[in-house]
Amino acid sequence: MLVVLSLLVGIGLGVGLHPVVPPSWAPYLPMAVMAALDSVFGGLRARFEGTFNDRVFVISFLSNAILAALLVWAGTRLGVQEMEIAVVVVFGVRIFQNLAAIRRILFHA
Amino acid sequence: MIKRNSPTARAIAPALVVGLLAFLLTVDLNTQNSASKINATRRSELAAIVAERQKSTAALESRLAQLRAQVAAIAASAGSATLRNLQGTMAGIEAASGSTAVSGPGIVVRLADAASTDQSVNQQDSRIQDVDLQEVVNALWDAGAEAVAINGQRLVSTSAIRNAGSAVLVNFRVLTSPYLVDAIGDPSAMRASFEASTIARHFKTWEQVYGLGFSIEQPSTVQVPAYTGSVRFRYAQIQNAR
Repeated sequence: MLVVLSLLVGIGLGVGLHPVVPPSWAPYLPMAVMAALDSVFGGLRARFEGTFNDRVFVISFLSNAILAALLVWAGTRLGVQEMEIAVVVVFGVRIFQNLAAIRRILFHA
Repeated sequence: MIKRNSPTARAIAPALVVGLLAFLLTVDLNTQNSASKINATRRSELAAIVAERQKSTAALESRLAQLRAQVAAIAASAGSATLRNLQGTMAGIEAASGSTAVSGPGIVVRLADAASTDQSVNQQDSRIQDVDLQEVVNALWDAGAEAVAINGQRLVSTSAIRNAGSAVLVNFRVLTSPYLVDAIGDPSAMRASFEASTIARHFKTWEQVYGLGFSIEQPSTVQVPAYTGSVRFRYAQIQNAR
């Protein structure tokens, strides 16, 4: 209940206030979002598997998001081309795995 | 104050995190949206500026042609012998400097980008570059060309041939493939000399390897238009004017 409420409030804030990230930050926000999405799906999966731990969830959410953005930022500074791809591949694969696990639990398929 | 391990904290913290995700997602959507919008408007603005400048250049050029015709008409109507003499000299100088259109026998070298955009081939290799045109023009001058134009742009002493993105600029005009290099001169001698040049031999290879278009035509008359740009020197002055 609380989670759904918070979700709606978050969407409401984003749509209502219409905040925009400055262009120099724009490449890093999608990375943080990818990491955050992965954490949330991971949390959902853990919930279904009965291994959910709120501390792990909160800490992994924050640290993954911040680290992903920082890593890409550092990568561009160091001249590593397309550091985003590493983040996209890693979190993309993990999101798919989490979704597959959730699907298996929900539909037994 | 809520304790770290209290049931309230345990319920609120994950919920807040999910809310944060929702917020981040919408902010990201907003940002990507506005970024693409800005790019689109900028591009159309720039395109409009370019179109406008091209239009004003065309207008100025037609005005210049008008004024030049006026000057020629006035000069022709004044009929003293010395003046006619001077006009004869001037016509020769004008032909040599490129400010009048000329025609005569010659050859036309046709260069074209590769038709297929094969991804395995480097984009630069399948396109005609400024250096290709420079070398072709050099070979033509070397072969005895008296007047040269690329796609109707007369080459004069201040002409530059250079790349601008995927196009080639000659006399600050954007030219695109196919490039027709018109050269006036002794057709057979010029053709023989040009075909023996390094760049012509390279192009015969590149035609096979990269599919670039390359051909030499020999029409009965070659038309080379006048240079339409400004010919006024602002810094260079004539030394020892006699």
